[in-house]
Amino acid sequence: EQADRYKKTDIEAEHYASDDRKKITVLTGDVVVTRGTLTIKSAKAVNTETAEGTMFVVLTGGPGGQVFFRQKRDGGPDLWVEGVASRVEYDEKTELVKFITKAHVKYLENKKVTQEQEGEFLSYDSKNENFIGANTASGQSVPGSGRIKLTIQPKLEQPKPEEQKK
Amino acid sequence: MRYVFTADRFRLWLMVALLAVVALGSFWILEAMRRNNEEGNSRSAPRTTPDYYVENFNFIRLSNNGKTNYHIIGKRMTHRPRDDDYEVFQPQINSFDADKVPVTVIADRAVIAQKGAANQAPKDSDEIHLFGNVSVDRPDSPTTKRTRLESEYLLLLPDINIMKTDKPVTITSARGEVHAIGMIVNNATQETQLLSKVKATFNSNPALSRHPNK
Repeated sequence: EQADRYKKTDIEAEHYASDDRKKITVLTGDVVVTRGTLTIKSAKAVNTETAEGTMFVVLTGGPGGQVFFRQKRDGGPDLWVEGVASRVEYDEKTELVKFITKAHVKYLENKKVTQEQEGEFLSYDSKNENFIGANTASGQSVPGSGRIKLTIQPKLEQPKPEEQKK
Repeated sequence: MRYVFTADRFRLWLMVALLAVVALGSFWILEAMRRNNEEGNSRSAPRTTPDYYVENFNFIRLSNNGKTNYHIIGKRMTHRPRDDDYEVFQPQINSFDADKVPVTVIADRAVIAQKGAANQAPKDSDEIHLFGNVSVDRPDSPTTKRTRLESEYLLLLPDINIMKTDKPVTITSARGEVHAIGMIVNNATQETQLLSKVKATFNSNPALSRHPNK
């Protein structure tokens, strides 16, 4: 959601280590990042402050665990996007969220999944709300190295045959 | 011949008796002095009450190259001979971190245990224990933003440039506020570690709103 951009960011974790000179902060131990409607949960978050002072965060799930991402989408009361992946990169300046390796992103409308993607690399640009999928963790599409699965749920409800008969 | 107790014999025995008294007497005085002396130094055993105090002072600790390592301003400092340490009321400690940024530390009370203290285990640094409303202020500097740290207890190790506490701590800076329990700060390498229950809030990023490149 656009408004998230100007909201404050809350981060909770078990351990925090920061190196002011290199401007790197490492948070570990069930890390929860919330900012407006954006919520990210992971086991570890490494936050590097760029020259312009914006944050570039790399989140990794715990052993076998995945990073969970959830944010509201504009253009509707209950439009959400939810994603999981082994590694999530979030760039505060470009507001690009990259889901890397075993990524699975779902679009929800009124709690119903309207669209789903799976693949090695999925990136979601929450500012322009466009979406890129690629089949290698680097983000380039290499032919033959894996499939992207795109499932778009039907919008129309199929009428139940039995009810009509009654 | 019967033994006759004549006058001169009497005088002779009297002399002997006198001599005996003098000998015994001196022995008795010696004994009294020794006992008095022994009881004397037991009285000077390390006493628990302070033996001196200083008021409205500025204590400057020089590092071995003669430069000021840190200095402490305080209302009152009492020396406690038992542990050879100092108790300071309303201390203010000014020191510099690696980038020559002045760091100001204020607390209700401090106990300074110097590394060379008598009858204490050798330490690799002076220990300054700070109790009650401890605050550490570091103004803006070319490399870092202004930060302020607050806690109920803080241990300063100036010689190895470390600050640590196991109590809840709050760090406020331009970008936001961080709460945690337990902290270790290495001022030399400017690394901060928060040990548990970390809760950080960063306000919206000024850098963003300056050039909203939508």
